[in-house]
Amino acid sequence: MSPARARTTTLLLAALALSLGAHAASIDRAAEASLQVEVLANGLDTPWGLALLPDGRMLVTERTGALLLLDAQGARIATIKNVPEAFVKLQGGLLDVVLHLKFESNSILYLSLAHGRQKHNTTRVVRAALDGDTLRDVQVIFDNTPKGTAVHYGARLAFLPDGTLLVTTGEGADYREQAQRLDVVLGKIVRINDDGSIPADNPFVNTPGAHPAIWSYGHRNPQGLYVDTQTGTVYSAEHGPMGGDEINVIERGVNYGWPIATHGIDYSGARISPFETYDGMREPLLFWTPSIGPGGLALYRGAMFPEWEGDLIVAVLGHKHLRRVDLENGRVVRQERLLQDRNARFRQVVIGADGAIYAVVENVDEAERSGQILKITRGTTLPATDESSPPSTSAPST
Amino acid sequence: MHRNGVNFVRILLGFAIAVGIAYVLAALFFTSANLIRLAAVGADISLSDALRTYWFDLRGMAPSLVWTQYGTLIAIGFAIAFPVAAGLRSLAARSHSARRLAPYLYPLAGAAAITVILIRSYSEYEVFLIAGARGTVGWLAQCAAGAAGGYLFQLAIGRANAQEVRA
Repeated sequence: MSPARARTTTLLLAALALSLGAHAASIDRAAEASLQVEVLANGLDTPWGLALLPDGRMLVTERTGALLLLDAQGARIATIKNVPEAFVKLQGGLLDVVLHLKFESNSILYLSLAHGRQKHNTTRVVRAALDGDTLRDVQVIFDNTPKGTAVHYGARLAFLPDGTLLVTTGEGADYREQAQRLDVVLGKIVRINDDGSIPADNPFVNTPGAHPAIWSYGHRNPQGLYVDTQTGTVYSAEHGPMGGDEINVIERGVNYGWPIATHGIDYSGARISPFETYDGMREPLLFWTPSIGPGGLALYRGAMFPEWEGDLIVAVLGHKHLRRVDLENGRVVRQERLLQDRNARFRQVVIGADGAIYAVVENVDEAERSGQILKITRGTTLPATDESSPPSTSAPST
Repeated sequence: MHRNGVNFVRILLGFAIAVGIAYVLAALFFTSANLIRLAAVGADISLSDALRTYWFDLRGMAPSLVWTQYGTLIAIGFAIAFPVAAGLRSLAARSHSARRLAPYLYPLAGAAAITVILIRSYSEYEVFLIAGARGTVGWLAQCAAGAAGGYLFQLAIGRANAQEVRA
């Protein structure tokens, strides 16, 4: 949502203002002096997704419809041709990009985008081969259930180790109850084969009336998805309404509760549901009330920050920082804010092969065309991090 | 002077009653719509769950110093709509053919105020920030709450206006 629109928001503005003020005290300060931040690319128009190519180049999606090819230093090599046209409005547009697990040999990549028109649009996934600066063999391999709103697309992509592709879909806001329906692909994470076909071992393939692509359900707007290839654990980050942003560990066939079970309330000040928890619905690993606005996330594994091994790095849009979530034995023990002085809306985070952290910044100072790609490496010293915050699995609830 | 003072108090009191009742009805309709939708997708909502939610919502959206609260917006909406309706009543009073419209003007103004609030809150992101107004029935229920507020306002100030219309 654009900054200009945000300024004129009625109910939502009040919600955000309240959340901005109330959350600051509970989280550790980052050891920011230890981080070296290099701005690889500047002036991007609402960047959303980032894929690091094996040769060091990068593919970046701009929500406004362009797929950019950058070199390892962030210089623009090309604007990729033959990219499918996206429905660009509000939160819709060209969204994520991910490489096939065998990209080095087949050059295949996947894009997610909003497709259609206001009254009838979907979260679409296309598969294509990257040939120089052009996409070839562009194929639509997935569309979710159409909706009539231009928000809550989900649209984050990630491959499981078995070569199947997970796709998050949002519930379209006005259709929130559909997240609980197995015959509707809104508010779901779906699992498809790399050609778009449905894996035979998906959880609901034999459930009458259910859509066979559904992998998990009860989601609101999951814009973060990460598969830890070492353990196979899948993490998602999901926007809540006013409060109730979540990190979830995604498992096969599980119901994550939205909108029946949520720690958030509606922007109007009313309850979404009488229930914060509900039998048969999975509780989040971590939730934030007030909301922070989580975008993408990644689990850190790398040599550059060995003390962060196995921690989640979350791109935070609303509160404008990167957040390290320290995990010990699958539990959250502390959190740390990074780069909070940049006034940057962090959209996505990707870990490089050398352990460097690449962050996608949607904009800086709410300015148009101010998106960035940051490369974060270890600085000269790394002070001990503050251990003052109490271990917890969830932020305080209001 | 004394009579003007009485009328002013009557108008203020009528306005407060109109806003209060319209808001309570709107909140009740809002919560009912949401609970029905949740139940339709499998939520088992007990009476105590429902009552707790009604109470929470009633407090959560209540008029306050925050102008974006639904209850506050209703008050602002009525404060704009009712004087317009009063002006139209005055005009209607001068026309024999339009006089029959007079009893409907305040209820229409109340419904119109809610409609404008819903449209305004929808227009930013083209989603229903007032989620209980989703769907035709949800929308009409909110408008009905506004119309009820307008009708109560008309009753509260009825004597003065009735005289005006008869004049």
